[in-house]
Amino acid sequence: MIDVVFLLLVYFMVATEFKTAEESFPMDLPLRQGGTLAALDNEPLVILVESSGVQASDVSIRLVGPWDPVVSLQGLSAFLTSNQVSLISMDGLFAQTHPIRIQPTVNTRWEHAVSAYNVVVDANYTNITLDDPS
Amino acid sequence: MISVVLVACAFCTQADNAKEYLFHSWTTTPIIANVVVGLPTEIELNQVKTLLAEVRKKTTSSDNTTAQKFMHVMIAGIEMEYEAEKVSHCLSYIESIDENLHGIAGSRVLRFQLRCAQLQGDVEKAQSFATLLREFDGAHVEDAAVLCLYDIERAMQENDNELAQQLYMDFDTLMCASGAQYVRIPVALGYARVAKTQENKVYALVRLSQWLEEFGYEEEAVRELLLSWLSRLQPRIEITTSSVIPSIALLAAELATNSELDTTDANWEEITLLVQAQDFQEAILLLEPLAEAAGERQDDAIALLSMVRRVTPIPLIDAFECSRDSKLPIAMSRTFNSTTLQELFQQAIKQTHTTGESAWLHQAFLLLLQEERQIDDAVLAESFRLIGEYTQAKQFFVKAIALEGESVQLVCGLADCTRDSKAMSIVIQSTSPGDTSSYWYWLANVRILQWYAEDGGEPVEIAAKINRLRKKDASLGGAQFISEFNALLF
Repeated sequence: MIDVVFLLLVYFMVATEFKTAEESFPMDLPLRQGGTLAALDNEPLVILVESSGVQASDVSIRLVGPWDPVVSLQGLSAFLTSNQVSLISMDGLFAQTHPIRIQPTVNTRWEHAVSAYNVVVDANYTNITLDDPS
Repeated sequence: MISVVLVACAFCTQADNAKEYLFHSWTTTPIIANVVVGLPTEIELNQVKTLLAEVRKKTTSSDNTTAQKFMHVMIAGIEMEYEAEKVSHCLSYIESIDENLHGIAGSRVLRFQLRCAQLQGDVEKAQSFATLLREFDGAHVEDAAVLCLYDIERAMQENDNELAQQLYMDFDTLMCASGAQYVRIPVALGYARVAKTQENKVYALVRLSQWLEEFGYEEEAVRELLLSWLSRLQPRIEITTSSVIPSIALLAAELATNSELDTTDANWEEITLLVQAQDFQEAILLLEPLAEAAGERQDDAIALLSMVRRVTPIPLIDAFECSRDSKLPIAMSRTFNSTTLQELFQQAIKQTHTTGESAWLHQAFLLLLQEERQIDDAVLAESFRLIGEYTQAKQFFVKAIALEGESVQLVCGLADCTRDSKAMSIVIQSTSPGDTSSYWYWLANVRILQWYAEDGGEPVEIAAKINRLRKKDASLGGAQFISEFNALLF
């Protein structure tokens, strides 16, 4: 009897085929590169800078567009900071990368134009252009 | 400061109101076109004078914006057709515009410069403005009509009547194809205005009446129309069988055999006047009893009533039989000819642009598109786009642009079908959020944002852009767009 059982055990051990488990094979797919990202039609924020004197404070600022009026560098700083949009505050008007153009007039003093530029940089905007005087 | 802003806003609204008021009348009735292009009746002339007086009231002379100057050019440009001294006014207003105008505004100013030069007899200037207008991209059909009549007049001056007739026929075909039906009669009358001989004067009018007959209008009704057009010619044309003009002699013979035309019928005279003045609703009221009562005018009344009903717009809702349960259109209420069908399409498109898409309008478009009639490619394209059939819409947009040139509507529609964000940006720059082009402005903005979001664009950029658009219009273009903008924020 034990011989028969032993023979059957040997038979099944030899004949049995165990199914192999499914494996996952990682594929190195390329990163998405084709096609261009649809670009937003972002009109630049234009900041007009005018000098009324030689002192550092003798500078007047004007924004082109339907924005709240701004007259001074302090006002500009407050406007840019309070209207910067972020994932926490989605109420703002401009992303950090929004194009900003600083436009001095022919009579604007260099230090006033640079002051305006610095205010924009201090407000953490990164896409800034200093236009030729017009 | 606040008062300055309020005054500026008031000026802006006044200018926009005046512009919309003038251009609505200009493009929905042939009255102004008859004055500036064709041969107006005394009634039409008075109507235009009244209209311009009202437009002038709505505009303000102290404002100095380009829109305001443009309005003054338009008013003086119309007036100079019957008041010669307005030519200099028109020119000075044109000179005061220091911006380059594009689109319809640009072609309209060029067309008035051409007319000013013609009225002043300055051949060289006229020729140079004609060249500029010919090269202008996307000129309005009525401005193209002025240029065509200028070419016809020159051909006639060189005694090349064949060329003049060919130019007219080509342009008439173009007007048919581009859906500018309202300009056809003024252009035919304009042909008569520039013609020097009696035979030439009647050429375009007779051709147009022949086209109407071939198109399916009742013979007698067309004859009435032709008589009303001929009555505008100065000096008057004698309609006798002995006329040297074959078409007029034939018309006289037809009239002689038709004894039903009784000029002593005062009621009929009034109806004819109403039809001439395009007062179709009043004419229908008078015609209906005549058409029902047995009398010598019954057949005429039936024929004219049929013709007038064809040219009178049918409300969209009356064009369909609706389901009792769902209230949605299930079939056309009757068979419509191509012109009426085209009007129904345009009503459906206008309603969708104004109120947004709905199941009712979607069903209405599907039924209209099943009708096999000759409809403008541009109308078909926009209809297919509005029901989301972008592949078919694209084909028709491409055909329409090839035929009519690029316009905001066609470029924006095609860009919507092909996901062309660059074209959409151009549309945004060519339109504004507060006037008649606002639908296209908001559509272009919402599509660019949707595509940007689909491509994995920055959510903060989307939020910032929408917030900036709110500064232009807090309602973001109205109910049909605000939900789409809001969907982008969540």
